[in-house]
Amino acid sequence: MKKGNLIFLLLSLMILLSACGPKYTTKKDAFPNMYEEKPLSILVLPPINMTTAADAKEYYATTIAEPLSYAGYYIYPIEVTTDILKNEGLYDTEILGGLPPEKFKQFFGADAVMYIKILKWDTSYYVIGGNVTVAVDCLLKSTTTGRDLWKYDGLIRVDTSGDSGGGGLAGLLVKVVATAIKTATTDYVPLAKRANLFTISSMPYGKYNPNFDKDRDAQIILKQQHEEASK
Amino acid sequence: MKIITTVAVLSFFLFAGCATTQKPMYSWGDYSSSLYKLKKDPCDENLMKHKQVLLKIMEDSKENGLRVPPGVYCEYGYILMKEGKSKDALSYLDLEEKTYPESAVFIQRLKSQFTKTKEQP
Repeated sequence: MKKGNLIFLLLSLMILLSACGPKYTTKKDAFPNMYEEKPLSILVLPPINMTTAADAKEYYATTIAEPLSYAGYYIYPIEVTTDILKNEGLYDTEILGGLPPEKFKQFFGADAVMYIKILKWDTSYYVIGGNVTVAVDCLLKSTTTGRDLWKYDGLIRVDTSGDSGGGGLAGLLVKVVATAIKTATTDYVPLAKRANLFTISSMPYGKYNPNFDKDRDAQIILKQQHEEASK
Repeated sequence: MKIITTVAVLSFFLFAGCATTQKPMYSWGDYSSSLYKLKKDPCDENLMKHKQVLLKIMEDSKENGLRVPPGVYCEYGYILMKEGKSKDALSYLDLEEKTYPESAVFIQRLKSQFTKTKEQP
């Protein structure tokens, strides 16, 4: 099945499951700047890890390029760009966050720069079974105008307690994640991938995706249980 | 109730959409896993494995008529660069720029950084 369809399916199932909860909108209403500027290349800065999970940063950084590329963007190889930034004495994510976005245009030719904060990376399921909670803050800024192009702040909860029995979104996710966990018990990568797929699903498609510029009216959920993330 | 109907209709269209199978955009292979392992334990063995994964991505992409995913040529070239295999490294950097012209500024920077370090005694 096509990736875009899968994302869309997940989103519509989410709408179904949360009929009484979050408000939803269209991509073009949520992120008009994205359709105006149509960025092609994205520089992903090393994520800021606000959690106590030491691995969260690596898990996130090694899995983010894939879904972003499927969304239709050129993603600079994070391994290489992180090294270059380090060589320039810019490894500290605090300093990077303070630089004007235009710098990254000069330096890499990037159209947009992505800032990521990992707020919550709860992997307790590993011991007790149950929920995995990931909360991230993503912000995509234009390197031309400095404007915010796209952002995501939300909580992703994946029920990993095994056979949920329930259909819908939770069931779908569980299936994928549970399978992954069964096959490689120490491998968090599939989970990080799920989390990323979720995050990216609200992003308008880029030029390499066949649906580029055709998703203006696609429905997305603006915020997802964000209150819970701050608990 | 209205929402449920809407979603039912929506899902119908979705499933209808699935019938037209489209090729995946990219083949990323085991990229995340091998890169993660390399970052956790940057030993020669893990580096070798990650290099193999990168090569496999290029092969699979070629076989399936897909564009090599963004950054893969460059990441491979960069590893070769660090290993001192300059000629091969540059050809992979060129491939990245050819496949993704928007990477030009970045690739040029990488190349100049490389020549700079090479000129140092």
